[in-house]
Amino acid sequence: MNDPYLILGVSREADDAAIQRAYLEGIKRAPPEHDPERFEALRGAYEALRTRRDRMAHALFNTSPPTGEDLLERAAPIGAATRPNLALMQGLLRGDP
Amino acid sequence: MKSKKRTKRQATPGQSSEELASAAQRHLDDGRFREAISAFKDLLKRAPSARWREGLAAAYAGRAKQLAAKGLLKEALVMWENRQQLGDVASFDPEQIALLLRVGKIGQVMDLYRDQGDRLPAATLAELRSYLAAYWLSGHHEIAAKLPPEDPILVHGDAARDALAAYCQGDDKALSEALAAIPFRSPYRDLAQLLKAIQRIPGQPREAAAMVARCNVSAGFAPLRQAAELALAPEHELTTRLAETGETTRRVALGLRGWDEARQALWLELAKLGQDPNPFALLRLMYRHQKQLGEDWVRQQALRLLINDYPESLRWLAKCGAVGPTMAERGLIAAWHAESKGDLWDALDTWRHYAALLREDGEPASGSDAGLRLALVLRRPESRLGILKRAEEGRSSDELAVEVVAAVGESLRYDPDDRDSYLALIRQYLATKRHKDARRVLEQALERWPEDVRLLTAAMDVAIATNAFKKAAGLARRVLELDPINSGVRERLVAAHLAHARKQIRARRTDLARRELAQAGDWANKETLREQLELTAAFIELTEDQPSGITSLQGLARRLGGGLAGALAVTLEGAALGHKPNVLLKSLGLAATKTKQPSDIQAFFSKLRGHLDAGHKLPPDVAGYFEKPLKASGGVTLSFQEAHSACETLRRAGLDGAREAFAKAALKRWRGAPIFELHAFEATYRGNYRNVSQQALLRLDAAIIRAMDEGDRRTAHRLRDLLMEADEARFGAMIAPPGPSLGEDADSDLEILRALVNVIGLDALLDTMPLSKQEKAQFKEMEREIGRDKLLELIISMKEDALDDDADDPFGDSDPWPPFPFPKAAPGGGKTTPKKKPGKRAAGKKKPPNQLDIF
Repeated sequence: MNDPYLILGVSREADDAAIQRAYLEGIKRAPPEHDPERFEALRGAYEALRTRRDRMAHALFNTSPPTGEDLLERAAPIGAATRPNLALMQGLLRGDP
Repeated sequence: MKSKKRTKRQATPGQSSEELASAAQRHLDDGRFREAISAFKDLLKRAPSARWREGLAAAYAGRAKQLAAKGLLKEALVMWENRQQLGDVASFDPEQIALLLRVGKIGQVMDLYRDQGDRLPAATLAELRSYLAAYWLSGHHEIAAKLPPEDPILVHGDAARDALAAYCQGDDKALSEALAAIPFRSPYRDLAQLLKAIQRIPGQPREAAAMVARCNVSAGFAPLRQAAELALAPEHELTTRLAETGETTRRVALGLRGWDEARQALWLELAKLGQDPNPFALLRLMYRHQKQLGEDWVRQQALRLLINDYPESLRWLAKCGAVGPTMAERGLIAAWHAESKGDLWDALDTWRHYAALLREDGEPASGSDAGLRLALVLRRPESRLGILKRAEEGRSSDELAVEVVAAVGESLRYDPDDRDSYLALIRQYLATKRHKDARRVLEQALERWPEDVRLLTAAMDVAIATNAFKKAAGLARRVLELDPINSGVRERLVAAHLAHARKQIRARRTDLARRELAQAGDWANKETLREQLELTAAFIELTEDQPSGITSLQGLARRLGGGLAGALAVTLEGAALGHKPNVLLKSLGLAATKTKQPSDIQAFFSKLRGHLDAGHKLPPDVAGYFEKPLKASGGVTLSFQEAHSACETLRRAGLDGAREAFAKAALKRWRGAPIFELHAFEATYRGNYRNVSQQALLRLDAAIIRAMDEGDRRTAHRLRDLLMEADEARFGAMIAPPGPSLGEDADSDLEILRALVNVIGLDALLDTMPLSKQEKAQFKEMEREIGRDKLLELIISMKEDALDDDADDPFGDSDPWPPFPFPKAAPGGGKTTPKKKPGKRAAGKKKPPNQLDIF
């Protein structure tokens, strides 16, 4: 994922405090010893958006094209896990492809 | 389905049974099951044996699995049936059951279970039961009629059905109750385990993964296990694994990961674009889902997709039904594109153009969003490309730096709170000796951040640069108050006091000089700094009382290593105070002479490296003074690393005469060592390559090959660059670079040439080349030095270079041997090869007689 707003899960209008809050919550859930990859992503996203100047610079100078993951996260973010219905489970047990 | 035309089976009458058996086993081991089946059948025809039947059964099973994996289920079943017909030897395989259930041949499975169940091994029977249990649970309750009422599939079936239903309905209490009714030895054991695991996926993924790992991989509940694994797969593996998974498994797994239907549908569309989607295809997809993604977001991201194929890509937006880029957007994309190409002027111009577009709506207010945007754009060439830093290091033009300084200065009008911009300007003004400007910017910055350590350090640098040593010392103290462990400032402070002390010594105000040294002493916490202060103090003594000063300096020189090292330490400080090295050392009785002591040479180079590392240059008179004794000391015994390090230090100091002596002495010990060949060549010719000898060039060629062989790519590249430079100096930049190519494989050419030389001899090979007697002798000497193979590699690389030259004229009547490195004397003696057009030989030039085209 390239979009730091999506990585931190904040809106484009978020201010310094909201961004810091999201970052701290994020690293609490993904500490570096448990999920180093996610931690790095959060760290990078926070660095990119920390201040008003950083956010403006990101909007002007970040040229990374969107990734498929960006699109997925933007269009339909991951939500709560949903259990399959009985018919789908039976299909799975039957060996449906 | 199209029927494939089969090739007629190879008869094997010529093969003995042993050969055929060995071939059959090889086919089986390598997964060539068709060939294995054929071979084992032939063996069985020759002599029926249990061993061949086992082999054939394994080959049938392997082939069946291959076919099933390709979706050829009926064909796979035929293979299983063939295997079945082999009799007892072919034990029952659970995968066959899975396949039978998949194609709906439940009757056969039930017959097998009923008729042979008792005879199956326990593990196989358990697997068979789990397949039937999963099948029953999937809604095929009709099989119940064919099972005895006491069969565990039926006995535990209700509990399993309740558990599954409770899980799907999210009724965890009912789920627990139902699972408690499924015993450990039940055919539903894996189901119970997997339901417990997937129940934990959202909150306890680690525990869930551990439970999943304990389930049977190949039994009837394997599809549920696969879905659970996919639901737990790490993010970076997901895309690849999803692509290999069927729809049902994918839907279950992604649901468990929290993917809703919309996300799954979008993922499918993205998956169709492939791993590395074409930017235009991605753009179209984004516009198709514009409502979901948000119009503003799509627009912002769309611009980033237009960089690569700019300017053609500017039409893409219209093709997607969107409004084409505005003038400002075009300006921004153009700047991004220029930046990606790395052309500094182009980047500067395009960002300036974009800044002008931003100003079209009026001058933005300082500190406003528009002002901040404009400021960031104005300083972009510096913040991204570091043009000022490059200019300081001499890597970009001063003209460019002037433009950037103006832009950064202007940016502070719109965003005066950017410390880095002030610092960049101060550094640049200092580097260009615009001290007034530096002071002006510094004052502005210090008004905003009076206690900023970086600004106070910059202020100290400005003070030192303008000889305001007292002020510099005061500023350094302030920095150290704020940042006590700032060792850089401590060193600068000592240097500032020292510089001030030297100024006083030169003015013969020794009392003031002593005061400065005393102040410097308060901050000098390193041995090297204290030595430096002692040296300066001894020079004060020399100024006040010559005999006493001489004694002190002599004592200090001894303490600092004596010999060349002590002489260097005294001379460097003396030079800073205006003493001529020869006069000073003569008066001290310390004249530098040849040394045979490795420790003295090592101490000398350590001192010299320290001086250079501190950013100082070696004063020319000091360099001139030490050149002679160093040259004479070249033969001192050093290790390879020490000799290498000595040559590098001498290169940095510009002492090429001494470097030549050290490199040549090292070459006597380590014959042909590439790094010393490089130093010897550079130091001997010192950039003047017009009259380089053939032998020297051949040595460089050989050194490149050896460096490549030894895996020393850095030296190989340095040598090659040197060779190109030498070549360019001799013939202009028109001829392709000589020397072996780095990384090309010339093994086959080498073998051919080696074979040829074995037949005709090296002399005959050299006779085919347009060489003088002297040049042939040089080649033979090379052969003795580097060996025949290396010489042949060298000849091949020269030939490749010649072919590269003629690449645009592959069939031309050109000379297969390059003029370099064997230029022929022009008629009349004087100059060598005349300049030629790149890649072309002189038209109509004939091959020399007796020349074989061996390539």
